[in-house]
Formats: sequence, C-alpha cells, structure tokens
Amino acid sequence: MNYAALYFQDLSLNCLLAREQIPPDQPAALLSHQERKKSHLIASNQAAQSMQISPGLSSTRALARYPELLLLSPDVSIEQSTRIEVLAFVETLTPNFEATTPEIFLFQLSTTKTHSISEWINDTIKHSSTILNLPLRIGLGKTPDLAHLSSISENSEKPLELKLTTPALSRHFFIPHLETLNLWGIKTLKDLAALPRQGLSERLGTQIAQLHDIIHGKYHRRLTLHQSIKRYQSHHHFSHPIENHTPLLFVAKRIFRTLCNQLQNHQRAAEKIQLTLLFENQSTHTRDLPLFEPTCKSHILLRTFHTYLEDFTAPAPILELHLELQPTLTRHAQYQLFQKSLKDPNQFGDTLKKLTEIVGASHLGIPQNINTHHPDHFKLHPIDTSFQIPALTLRTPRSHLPLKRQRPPLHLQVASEKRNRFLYPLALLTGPYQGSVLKTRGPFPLSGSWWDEGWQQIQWDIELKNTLLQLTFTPPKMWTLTGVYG
Amino acid sequence: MELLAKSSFSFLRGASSPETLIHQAASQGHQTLGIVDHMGFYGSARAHTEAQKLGLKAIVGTTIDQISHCPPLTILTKSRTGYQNLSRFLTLVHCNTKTTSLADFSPTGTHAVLTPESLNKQTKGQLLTTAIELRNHFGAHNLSIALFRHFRRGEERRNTLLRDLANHLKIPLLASNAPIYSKRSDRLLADAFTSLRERCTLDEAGQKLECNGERFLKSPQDLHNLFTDYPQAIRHAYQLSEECSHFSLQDLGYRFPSYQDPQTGKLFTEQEQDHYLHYLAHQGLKKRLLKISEKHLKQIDNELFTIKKLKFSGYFLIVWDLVRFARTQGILCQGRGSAANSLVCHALGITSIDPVESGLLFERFLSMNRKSWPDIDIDFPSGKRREAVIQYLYQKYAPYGAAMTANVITYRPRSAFREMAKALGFCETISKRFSDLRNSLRDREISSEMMTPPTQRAFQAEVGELSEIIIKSGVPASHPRFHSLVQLYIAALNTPRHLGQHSGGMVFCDHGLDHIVPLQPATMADRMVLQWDKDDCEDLGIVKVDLLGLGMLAAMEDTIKICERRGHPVNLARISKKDPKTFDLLCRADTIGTFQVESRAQMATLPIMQPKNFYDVAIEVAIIRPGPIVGDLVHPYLNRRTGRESIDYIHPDFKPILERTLGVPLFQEQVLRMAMLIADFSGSEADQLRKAMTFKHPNERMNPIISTLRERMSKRKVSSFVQDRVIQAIGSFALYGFPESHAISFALIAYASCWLKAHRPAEFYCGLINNQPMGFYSVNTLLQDAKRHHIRCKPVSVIHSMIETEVIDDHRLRLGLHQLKGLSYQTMESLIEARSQKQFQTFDDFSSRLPMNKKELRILAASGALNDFPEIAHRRDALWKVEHSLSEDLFTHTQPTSKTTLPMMTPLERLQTDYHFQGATIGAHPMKLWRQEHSEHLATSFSLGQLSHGAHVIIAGLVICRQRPSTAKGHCFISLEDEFGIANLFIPQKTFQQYRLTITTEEFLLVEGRLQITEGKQPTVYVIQVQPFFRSSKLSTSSHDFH
Repeated sequence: MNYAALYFQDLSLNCLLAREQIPPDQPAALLSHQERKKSHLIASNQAAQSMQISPGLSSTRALARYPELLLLSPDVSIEQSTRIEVLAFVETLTPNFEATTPEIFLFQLSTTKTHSISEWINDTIKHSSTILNLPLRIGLGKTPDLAHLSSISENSEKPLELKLTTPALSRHFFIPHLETLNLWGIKTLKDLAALPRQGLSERLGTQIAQLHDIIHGKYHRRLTLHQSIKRYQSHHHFSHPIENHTPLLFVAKRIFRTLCNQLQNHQRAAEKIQLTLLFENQSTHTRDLPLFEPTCKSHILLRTFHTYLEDFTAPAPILELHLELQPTLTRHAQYQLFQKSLKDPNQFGDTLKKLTEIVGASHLGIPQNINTHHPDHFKLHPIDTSFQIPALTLRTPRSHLPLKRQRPPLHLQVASEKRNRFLYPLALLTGPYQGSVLKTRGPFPLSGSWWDEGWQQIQWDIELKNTLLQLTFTPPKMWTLTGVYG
Repeated sequence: MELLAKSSFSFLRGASSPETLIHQAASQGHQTLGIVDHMGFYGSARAHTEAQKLGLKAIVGTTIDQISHCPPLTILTKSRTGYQNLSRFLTLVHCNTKTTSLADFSPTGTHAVLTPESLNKQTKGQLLTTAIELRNHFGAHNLSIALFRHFRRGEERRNTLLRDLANHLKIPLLASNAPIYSKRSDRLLADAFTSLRERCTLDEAGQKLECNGERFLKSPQDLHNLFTDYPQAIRHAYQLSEECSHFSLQDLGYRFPSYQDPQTGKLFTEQEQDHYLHYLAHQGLKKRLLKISEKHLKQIDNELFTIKKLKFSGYFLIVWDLVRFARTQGILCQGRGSAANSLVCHALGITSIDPVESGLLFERFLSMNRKSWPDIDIDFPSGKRREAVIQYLYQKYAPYGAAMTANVITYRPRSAFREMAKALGFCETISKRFSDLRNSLRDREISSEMMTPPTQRAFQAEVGELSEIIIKSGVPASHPRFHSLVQLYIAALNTPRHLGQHSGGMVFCDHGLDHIVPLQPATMADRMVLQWDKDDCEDLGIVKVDLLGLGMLAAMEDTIKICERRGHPVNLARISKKDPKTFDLLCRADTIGTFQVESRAQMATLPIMQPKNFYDVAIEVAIIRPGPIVGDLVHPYLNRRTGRESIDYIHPDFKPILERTLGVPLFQEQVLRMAMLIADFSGSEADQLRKAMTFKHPNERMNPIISTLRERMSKRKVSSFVQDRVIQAIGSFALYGFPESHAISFALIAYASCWLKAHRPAEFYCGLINNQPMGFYSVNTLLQDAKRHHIRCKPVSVIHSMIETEVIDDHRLRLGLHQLKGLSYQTMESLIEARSQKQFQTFDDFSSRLPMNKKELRILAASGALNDFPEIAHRRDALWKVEHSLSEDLFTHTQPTSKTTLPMMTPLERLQTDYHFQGATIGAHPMKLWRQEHSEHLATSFSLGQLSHGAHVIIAGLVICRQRPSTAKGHCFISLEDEFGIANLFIPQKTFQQYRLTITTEEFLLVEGRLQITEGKQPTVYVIQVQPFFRSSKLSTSSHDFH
C-alpha cells in the first residue's frame, strides 16, 4: 500500500456536533438550508441513520420518523475554523499532502514517519478524536484513488463494497449514468468492476471506463500538493520604549517595504493593514486599517498608517510594533488609455477619513434621491469607488423657477383660514420673510408610507411682496418654510 | 354625473367593487355613474344590476390602451348601437393578434374622452394630431377632453394645455375626478394593487403610487367646488351623463338563438319551433316508453304548454340538437340537475330519468311563476369528446357566436394574504404559515359561520381571530406593518383577481355574441370566453347551457364500445334496474372504480344501507354528503331504515314530503316544499331559497331568507323547537344542497357503472384504466381490485400492446403503451404504425425500424415491453442491449463485444421499476413480497374480517387514500392496501395530531389499534399508534389525499 487517505467524515455536521458537545447517541442531522421547511438532510449521524434517517430525506419526513431529531443548520464560520484546525492537524502528520476536498487528505505513506502502519493508523485516529473531537477514517491503497475509496468505505478492507449511491462517493467521484447503472442493478463498485470494460465503454462512454480503471487500480494520478497560506506579517521590538511618531514611522517604512516586496513576488496586493501596538504598561492596541484600493506600494501603506497615527494618542510608551497585511488579488487598470476618475484612490480615501473626523460619519456620503413622493427626501450613500448612480428616474414636476431648499425647514407662525378641506395661508407672521400673502398656488396635498409610520403634508407656493416661497403645512398645525424660489 | 370611474374589475387598476361604487354614488346624490373599466365591460353588468336596485343609471364604457397610434382612450356608450360597436371593437382588440387601429372601430353611438393621462406619453404636437384624428373619427360632438383635479403639482399647467386644445378644436371639456376607489380609505388597497401590478413591493413602488388619496368618488357638490373655474366642463358632464343614460344593459338586445332547420338553414319562427318541439316530444316519448300512460300524456302536454307560454321552445330544440349531435358522434351524454324533472327533456333524450315514474316535480324545473331561464346541465365524457361538442357549438355559431362564461377568480383568504404580504415586503414563509394555520382552523370556521348569523358575530372578534392567526404566522402585533397587513387583507378579500373560464357554462347567440358582450381568447386553445360570469349573464337574461365533463361517462363509453367490439353489446337504457347481481355488488360494497359509491364513506355505508332498489341508490348517492353530516342526518336515516329509531317527520304536516326518506330531509326539493308548507313561502320565495342554497357564499343571500322563514313560522305559531330543526336542516343544505333530480341522475350513472362492473368486469376495468386519472383510486388499486375479480393483466409489450389497454378475453387484459410514463404519444403512434406494416421480428429489427431516443428505449426495456423478442431474456438483458444500440456507429453495425452479464431483476426490483415507470404493477403487491421475506406476523385486510370486535390489531400496508373532511372534527380516515384488499383505519383527532407528519408523509404505515366491527360487519381499525413502515423499499406510489 503506497497511499493513505484521511476522511473526516461529514465534517460540516460533525464540527457542529463537536462544538455543541452533542452525545453520539443523540440522532442529529444537517439541513441543506437555513429554512427548515424547504430543507432536506445533507448529512446524518449514526444514531439518526439507525432510525432510517438518511441524507436526502426531507426535514418534514425526517421529523416524522423521529420527532426528537436534532436538526442543525450549516454554520460557515464554525466550519471554516474547523477546516483550519484540520489542516493544521494534517500538517503535523506530513508536509506533503493533497487536500482533495475539505474532508479528504491524500498522501504517500513514505512521507510519514512510521514503522508500523497499523500503529500509525490507530495513533492518528486517536489523536484526531482527542485533538479535534472529530471522527476520522483512514484508507490505504496502491493508488491515491483506491486509498480515497477505501477511506470513504464503511469497511476499509473491502472498498469495492461501497454503494454507488453513497453520498460520500458521489461527492468525491463523478459517476456518470448513475440512473442507467441503477436500472442495470449495479449497486456497488464491485458490481461495476465485474462488468466488461469494453462493453461498458461501448455503452456508457469513456468516463465510466475511467472509473472502471480506477476501481481496478489501473489509473494512477499525481497528487496536487497543498500549499499553506502565506502570512505577510512582521514585528519590531524597540530596545527603548518610544514616545513619538518618528521612530515608529521609520520602522514601519522598513517593514512595509519588505512586506510589499513579498506581496509583489506573489502577485498579491494588500487590502488591509492589521496594526498591533504593545505598550510599556503591557496594554495593547489593535486596529484594522482598510485601504481604499488594494495596493502593494509601501509609501501608500505608510501614508495610511501615518494618517491614522496623527489622531492616535498612546496610553503609554510603545514597546513593540506588529504589522500584518491582508493579501488580496491585485487590480489592474490602465491609467493612460482609459483614465480612471480617481488617479490615487488611497489619497482620496485619506481625505475622506479626515473629512469624517471633522463632520462625522453620518454627514458624509453621496446624496441619493429616494423613490418617493416625500419632498426633499434623500439618503447618503457611503463613498466608495464602486458607487454608481442608480438608473432610477424620478418624476419631479418641472418648474420655471429654481428652488433653493431650506434645510432644515424653518418653523413659522402663519395666519390662515379654512376653506373647504384645507387651511389657506394669509400672512407670514414670523421668520425671515414676513408679510401678507398676495397670491397662492395650491394646495398640493402629499402623503405616503401609510404602511409604516405614514406622513402627510400640504404644500403651498405663495407670493409675498418681493418673494416667492414654498410653504409646507404638516397637520395638525405646523407651518414650515421649505424653500425660496428664484 | 361622474363618468370615468374604474372598478376593481379593472384588475389591479381599481380598488372598489362596482356595487360599492354604485352605493357610494347613490349616497352622494349622483344620478348616474359611468364605469369605464380597463379593456372591457367586466364590472358594468354588476354595476347595472346594483344601480337598478338603487334607482341609478350605470353608464357603460371602457378604457382602451391598445389602439395603435392612439393614447389611452375612454369610450362611453350612448345607445345600443354604440354599445354593440364598442363590444365588437373590444372583442377585436382582444382577439386580434395584429394591431388594431381606430379605423376598425365604428364610432356611431359612442362618445370618446381624451383624458389628461393621454398627455403622459405624447408631446404637444402629437397630442394635437391625435385630437384632430379623434375629432375627425368621432365628430366634434362625440369627443370630449377631460380635466382632472387631484391636487398635484403641474396639474394646472396640463389642464391649461388641454383647455387651449379644446378651445382650439372646439371640443367640449369634461369635469371628472376619474375615481379608482369609492372612499378615501380605499386608497390603501389601490396602492397595494399598484405595487402588485408593477411587480414590486410598496417600498419599491415609490412614485408609481398616487401622491395623495384624492382619487375617490367625489360628490356632485365636491365636483362643482373643484371646477368652479370651468363651469362649462361641469355642464357638459351633466349633459353627457344624460345622453349616455339613455342606454342601459337592460336593452342589451340579447335573443336566444332560434332553431335552425338543418336542411334549409332557415331559422324557425316561434310557432314553427312550438310545433316542432311538440312533434319531437311526442315522438320521443313513444320511443322511450313501451306503453304511454295517461299520466305521461297529461304531463307532457302540460309541460309543452308551459314551455310554449314562456317561449322556451327554441331553447329546448337547441339543447336537443346538441344532444343529437353528441349521440351521432357516439358520445355518451346525460342531462343532470333540475332538467331531470322534465318529461319533455326525457322524451327529447336529454335526460334518462322518467320523472313521472320517479315522482319528480316539473315545477322545480320550470313554472309560470319563474321568469328565469330553465337550467339544463349536460354531462359529457370528459376530455376530447366534450371538447368535440364544445367545438361543434363554436363552429355552428362562428365567428364570435359562442363562448364560455367567465369565472371571476377573487382573492380568497390564502391569495389575499399572500399578495398583500408580498406588497408589504413580508417573506413567503409567513404566507405559507398563514395558509397552514388557516387550514387547521377551517373546520371550525365553516361550521360556526353557518350556524351563527353574521349579525350576531362581532366584527371585532373576527379581526381578533384573524390577528391571532397572523401573529402565529410570524408577524408580531408590535410589527409596524401589522395593522396595514390586517387592513389590506380584509380589504382585498373577495375582490376580483383575474378572470378564468367557467368549467362548462356556454353561451351562444345566432347574431353575434360579440355584439352582446366583449369576448376574449381563453388560455386554452380554440376557446373564447366572455367578460361576464354566469350570475352576471343570468341577471342580464343571457342563457347558458352547462356542458360538464364527467370522467366516468368517458370510461363507460369506452366500456360499451369494447363490449360491442367483443360481440356482446350493452344498451344502458335497457339494462334492468332490478338486477340482483348489481345489488349484490352494492350490498357487499364491492364498488371500487364505480361512480359516486366508490368512496370509503360510501363503501362503509352500503352494507348498512343494503340497497334493494334504484331509489335506494339515489338516497345512497345523496346521503354521503357533507351537508347531511353537518345536519346529523345520516344516522337517523340509517337508524330508521334498520328499524332502530322510530320515524319522526319534524312536523306532522311534513309527512307527505318526507315519507319517502323516512322523515329525514335529504333532498333540496323536500327542503323547499317544507318551507312552502310551514312558512307559506311562495313559488318565487322558494326559488330565492333555492338560489341562496346554491350560491357560492350562502350567508350573503341566506340570512335574510332565514329571518323571513323564522318570522313566518312564528306567525303560524310553529314551536321554536321545530323552527330550529327546520332552520338547521336548511342551513346544512345551504352548504351542500343536493336536489333529488340530481341524485337520481347520478344514481343512474352509479347504477350503470355497478352493472358494468358486475356483468362486464374485464371491459369495465379496461375502460377505467384508459381514462385515468379519474375517480378515487389509482390504476394500481384498480389492477389489484381486478386481480381479486380474477382478471389478470398482461404486461406492456411492443409486440402485442396497442396504445390503450385492451381486453384479451373475459379474464385477461393487455396493458397499453399509454401506461408507460415518459413515452410520447408520437412514439406510440409511430410504433403502432410501423408494426401495422410488418410485425417486429427481433429487437434489431425493432430498433432499426423505429428510431427512438435513449430515454424512451430505456423505459421500454426497463418496463419489460421488449421481453417478447426472442433474443431478450429478461428486462436487464433488454437494458444492456438497448444501451449498445444507442451507441452504434453511424455507418457500421457492429456486433456487441460482450454478452449480457447483468443479473435478472428480483421481484422487488421489478416492482420498483413498475411503480417508477408505470405507477402501477401487475406483479405481486409490495406487502406480499415483504411477507415472503419476513416471518413477523401482521394482520391483513382479509384477516380483519375474521377477528372479533375489540381485538388488538397490528397491520401494515400502502396508503392509498387519506381523508380528513372538514366535517369530521379533525378525525382522519385512511385506506390501507395490502395484497388481500383494503383495510379501513380510523385515526382519532388526538392521535392524528400526535402522528400528523408520519401520517401525511409516509407511503407505507404500520399501525396498532383496536378492531371495531361496525354495523354492516365492516371492520375498521381504531388507531392508537402509528409508525412508518420502513422495511418496505422506496416506491413511487401515489395516494388520493384530502386533508
């Protein structure tokens, strides 16, 4: 046996069971969606399977079979963290392995430090159980695929007993013409292996013949070895605690230059700076500094860092600086041929940061009209380079006169008179524009959003001696000046 | 004088019903109201009927927006000619695939209105051109320009422009508020409808919604105040209203078609029709009856006199012609409903019941007191044969002379909640939960609705209950949109949603139906539908004939044809009504596959009922209805029949009416006569009661009648106990009324189907299998039943099978190719065609002569249809060969390199494949296979009959039917099939709730319970525990579920 395969069975389900510390005798299953009603089961534990609750069953039917069944929804974050732990575990066994799927790891037995295979298998399974709290199956084979099949088989000694409909098999191997094979009564890999290769190939094509070869160990592929994730980080311990920016910037400049070179070598760019400062009083300060646009230019990173430091007050002298760059793919743009609207997005980002500090985050953005009849209603869209003006075209009645909006509207005392259903303004008693109303246009009642809080107001265009104004009456008795024409 | 109102029949463009608009108009002092629904006269009929009641004039008009090179145009009708022109034009717009222009419209008698909405899509120049074109087409006096004042910005500028245009072209201005709802508060629903129309939520609709709530119906005074500066526009509105009110839908000019001489094509005069009907009726009577009694003669003359007086001769002749056409085409048909009360209908061959012999009342069908048209419903075999009759009428009255009546689909609780929740942006899950919760409450609601007059029910309580369901659905009362949702749901309920097609109601006219009402193409090919529903048509005197489809008739027709082919023909009209074999079959409830008496409830009642004559069958048909169960009327009848309960007539005066049914009111006619007797109801009042009973929402019409009934009974000093019992009986019938004539018509088909099963079982099963899906049971259950009657089925074979299942001999059937799911009809036809030229010799011969796709060949191989070829050993062998033939080289015929290595299918695999590809098996029942492999002892449907009452039972089987009728107080009934027959399970409500998911989702069940031997020695398992029967392999079975 040349190859070994580690199979972390039903990882998505078992990582949740491990996290929640669910006992193995509790029937449990994993749903395909968050929403239970629409879901079917994608995995179930041994206890559930003993009650005929198998993957593929609808959640309703599964509950019909065992009402106390524990139904779990997929949790991406738990799954991801478990995957990292699993990778770390596999790395302890061998440096050269193939991460075939998140659940399967293949490697050559010769790369592991082992004398007795059975001992190694027992030790590994034991470690997996104690370290990861996850069930593990190990399969051995003379080819990587046979090892793989052996690992997903209930009986690793007899991998060909594996049923074609086993979810783990269909997840990892492409089995063409499964429906036809089912009609033929081919239920296991052994049944398939027993068929004549040529006859099979004539009928169902070359893909099934390749599977036939795999089963017979006639197909030997190369492993695609896993490369661990590179971290772009560095730290500097100051021999004497520092109290001003200059030495910090000096060190940071050097670190950024080194890290940027590394990033460039790997065709990556930084999208975020993760900064950690350790102070003399043993407290720490950690902050993520997002970049407006991914870059691998050290001076831009330094400028961002500098801008941040300008408003930062350290609680104590700084002992240590730790910087890490979050890598991402670089973006390519041809500045000369197709001019971008922002030549230096990161500089623009710096400017915005400074503005935010002055006016506050809620007062900075791109004003965007809201599709409503509510006058002067808009929202602020956060500023980023990806913002595009929506295709929405709002109908606003055309006016010959420009309107200067009064923001916020000015409360007024207005003398009025009720005619029909509406209050007609007669004179403005307070505010910057006072006097008798000479002419009115309106009323223009407006209302909407009755399904939420609802709003209503009545607009008037009025003419005073030398001014044209827009007044708004909000029931029951509030008059406001909302604009000045001209 | 408001002329431009849109009702909810503008479908998502208006929020108030025509009736509400008319009521509001009347209360505001309007003399007239113009309803201009979008693209039709959909709401005009109802508006007219309501307006007549309130003394208003409903003006008919429409808004059309599909005229090429023309903005949306509102057209009002001023005369019958105008109405007919507009109706014809609307039909043209709806039916014409090409664009329709103004040139296609004859404007005589109509008045066009150019509205401010026309400005939306046109420039000033375009508008001027359009206005000139319209003026030239309609004439300056028949065109107006409307001004709206909805208090919007920019509106005055637009009005000024329109005023200038009107002045320039000398066209009068028309003042209007163009309402789309009756009251300001209805704006909510209008906004929700707008968002649904625009396929977005209310939040997303934004400026597509109205900017304020001003589009309600305003009073004449309000309109005066709005348009003080345009007095001429107000004056013109009055003037135009006056002109338009000269025409109403009362003057529709509809005339039922006269009978046309088939030889000369000449239309008969009334006198000729009377004579001809007289002749046909007497001739028919002679043919129908061997000996005509005095009673018959007197009855037929009496009926003919009434028909002549009411001028209905032509109607009877046309229905006769229809039936005659069907018979000449070999299509089985039978009149049902009240027409069975008429001897003339019987003589003309429309109905099969002799009403004199059956003691049926002609007055229930037609009387001098009743002004409405008689209602003749005819059952035809469903499917192509009924379609042939419908197409005959389309052809006969073509073009645009015949159409199906519409079926107004309204917002029902589920759809109202779903759509309104969608408009408010709630997720679909909430709607689904609401719908589930409402279902569980349904039983209680229906019974309580019927028993309690709505006047006593507090509206608040209703809203409270609704709120409770909404909260349980996942919208808490504190949700900001909770109240909006409740409001919108209540507002949307019963509002028209879209127009469907009535199942069989057909209207025809010999001078163009499109002159009477606009027609439009139905979703179904070659069908036209008119814009009014059957009630609208009835209100306006438009006669409809119901051509209904009945699956059993199709099956029986096929059975008769097979009998004829096999040399022992059957004439259903001549079969004995006292056949002992048929009654034996009925008494032992061996009725699977028959008509009406095949349900589980019927089969449980038959052994108690022990029918001995034809009338017993009619009672049996009527007795298992939700109505009598609600009224607790089934058991009294059976108890009285078996002598366990003394006969009680509720009131001594009812004895002559209720004698035949042992004092139990089972039929609608009895209830009507009871009302006439005990409350002095006149003929027309009884007719109103009948209509209320058959009305979809009986409460609406029933409550005033019940009040009158109670009042009259009190006057006659009838005791309150009797009053309550009479009202209770009527209340039950209002829900599920069943006329005696109808029961007898159905009993006739039921009896005939039982006769065929008893005497021609092979042909009967064949007819049933060929007409699936229909009835209560699947093909598989029918095949199992056939097996129990010693009729075996041979499998599908490409060498022997025809498209349909065929009878080989009295004990063998050959399944047809149609049984195979996934085999196209075209392939089946090609196969039969190729085989008719030369029988297939070998599989290679077959595959080379019949090019088929992979999927179909696999189906044939897997289902064993290729097994009769000499080189095919078994199904898997065929499957192996089939795959090779598919991958053959284009030019060379290579020999397969290897012989079959695939094993034969096991019996269980064959069973699974049969269920998968045919939905049925002719092999062993899955339970039989299970029993062969397991030693565990389980009871069987057969062994239940041998156990004693109260015995502890464990039984398993395939679920073929689940029933939880709303009247059964939450209990569930299940039919469990095994290799011996069907076992009946009764699951009490508590047990059902406990195992609900298992019961409703599992195909096979294992249940434990107590045996109950009920009256009639019927064993039923009273279920205590339920569990899935895992040990059976997965099968693609289907069950008939009502829960």
